Amino acid sequence: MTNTKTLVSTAVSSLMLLGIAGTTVPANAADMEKCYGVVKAGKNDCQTANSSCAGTSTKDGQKDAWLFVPKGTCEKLVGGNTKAGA
Amino acid sequence: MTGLRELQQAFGESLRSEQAMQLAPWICADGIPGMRRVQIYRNNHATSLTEALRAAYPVVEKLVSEGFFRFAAHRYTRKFPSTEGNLHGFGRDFARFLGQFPPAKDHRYLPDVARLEWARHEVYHAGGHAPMAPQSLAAVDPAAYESLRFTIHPARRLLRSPYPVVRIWEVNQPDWKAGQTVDLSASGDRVLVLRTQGQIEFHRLAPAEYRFLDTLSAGCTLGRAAEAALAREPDFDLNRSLVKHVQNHTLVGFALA
Amino acid sequence: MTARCEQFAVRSIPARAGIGLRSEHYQAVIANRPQVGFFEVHSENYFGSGGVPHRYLETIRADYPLSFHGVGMSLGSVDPLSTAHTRRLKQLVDYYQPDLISEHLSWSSVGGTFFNDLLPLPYTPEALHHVVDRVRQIQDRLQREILVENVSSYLQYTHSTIPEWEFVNEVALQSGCGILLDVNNIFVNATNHNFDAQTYLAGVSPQLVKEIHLAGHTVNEFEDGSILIDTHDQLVCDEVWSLYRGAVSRFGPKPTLIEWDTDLPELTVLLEEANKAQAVLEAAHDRVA
Repeated sequence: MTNTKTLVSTAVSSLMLLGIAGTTVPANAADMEKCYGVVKAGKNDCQTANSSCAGTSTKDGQKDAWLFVPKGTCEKLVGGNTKAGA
Repeated sequence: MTGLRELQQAFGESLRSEQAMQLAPWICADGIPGMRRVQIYRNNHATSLTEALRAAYPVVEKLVSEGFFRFAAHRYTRKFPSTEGNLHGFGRDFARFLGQFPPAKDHRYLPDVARLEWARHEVYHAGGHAPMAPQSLAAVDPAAYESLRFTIHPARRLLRSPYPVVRIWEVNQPDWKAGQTVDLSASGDRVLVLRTQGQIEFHRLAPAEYRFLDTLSAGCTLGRAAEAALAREPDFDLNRSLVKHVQNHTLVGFALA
Repeated sequence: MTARCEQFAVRSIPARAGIGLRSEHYQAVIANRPQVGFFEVHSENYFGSGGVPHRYLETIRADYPLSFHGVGMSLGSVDPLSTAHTRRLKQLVDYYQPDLISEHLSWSSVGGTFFNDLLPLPYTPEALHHVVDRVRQIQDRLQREILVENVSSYLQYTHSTIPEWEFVNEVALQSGCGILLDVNNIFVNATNHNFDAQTYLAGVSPQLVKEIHLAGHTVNEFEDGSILIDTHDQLVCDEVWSLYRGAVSRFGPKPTLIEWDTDLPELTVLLEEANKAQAVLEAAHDRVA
């Protein structure tokens, strides 16, 4: 497609101009965030899997039958057909 | 090494199954019965791996509650045992597991929420990469631009879901103040997960832009990716997308061929 | 983690009190630059290729002595040593040049499955021979001396024939590694298995001890008795402080770590615990002087 060829050529040329101007964040970064919806998804101190050498004193609670039903904030998700077979 | 090997195999069996009794004769029964002592190790083992999953999947845990999560984590550990002393990779199959876990079948968005959290986890630990030097494109023959292939930064993941997973993730954050209700019939999400300056971000992408990046990350040429995006959206702004993703260091290198 | 040559260098770790470095405290450490003798990290927490953890560790390593404490090597397992694991550890050691490297005297995997817990070894000549061989292999691969740490245990094996302290001491003597003596683990085991903690201290050769660990534990009550669990989730108890003073007078001042892994408190709580250990070390330094 000639159209694609032209668009690609323009886009790559823009990139090279970018090189001359430096790679700083453009002034419209805030606009971009608004348009595209940027969500800060992790602060520097966020949790991560820690390999530990500690033992645990908590007892195993696997046998409680009530555990077998999800009962968290999922109850706040409404609408749409999420049920199996629905 | 018969003694040590047999002992470790019997111990392993006892950790995997409460019915396994092969270890009993090896343990001193002074006061507290041997198998009660083994139960302490079973708890340590289960807790160690459950904590690793909890750290990677805090939103899934919040959605299903701590108790159910522990139950699911326990089953997961049996089905996909840990195979490394390093726990960073443990939990990589959790989304797939949740998709096939009958007690969670009424919550079809759960696997996608798990995928989003795993992408975040991987991006947290991924390596870095120097930004692209666009000037070096000057060496490329303009006739070959369509054949360019781009390298994606190691700390980038693409993900799409028919559910509003980013919104689900957002409302389940500890510092979220507004209501927790999410309309699942709202449109789904296409997300670029990225890390900048030690901060992880979710960027929602328009359908054509997502297809553009997704095609590039599959190793296809710029021409092929542009065609795919234009097929999705005839007004797709290729110029803007390409510049944006070089500037945000998602596209960090290029090659011809 | 970017490859830069000779950015860090091994120093001799001071006989001062240090604390564990946990991701929850990264920002507080950078902001406050606390006065501690060293930081200790779990080596495996840096097995990722880069990203946030390395960003902080590089900054902190530039200003503090550093100790690498492994929790996943599965030193005592009969499975072959994981080449991927030792190779990654070697890369990290070459890059960060930690001042101390330690592993646990336990096992955690069999038949390729990892339990990610510190499981007890039987104290037999066979296990001793095996562990000595493994320590040698690790030291060969890393080209560094390692320390092995005594672990807490909640059971004893009927066929163990060697007292634990003798086993720990022999591993170090025969393999040429050092000992990381966890004083809380000695207290936990002395209580759980009915031996005198002083006998343990007396059975360890002073020249082999290169580091000491201190931590809090929890008492678990069962209908037929209680067991101490090494939970690392609270302050060091009085009995362990007292045992620690005994250890410092026998072994001399050694780098001492306050370990805290679960229900992590504010950084200041760890620093206060470290100050208590520092006071014990300084009193010993004065006696030496």
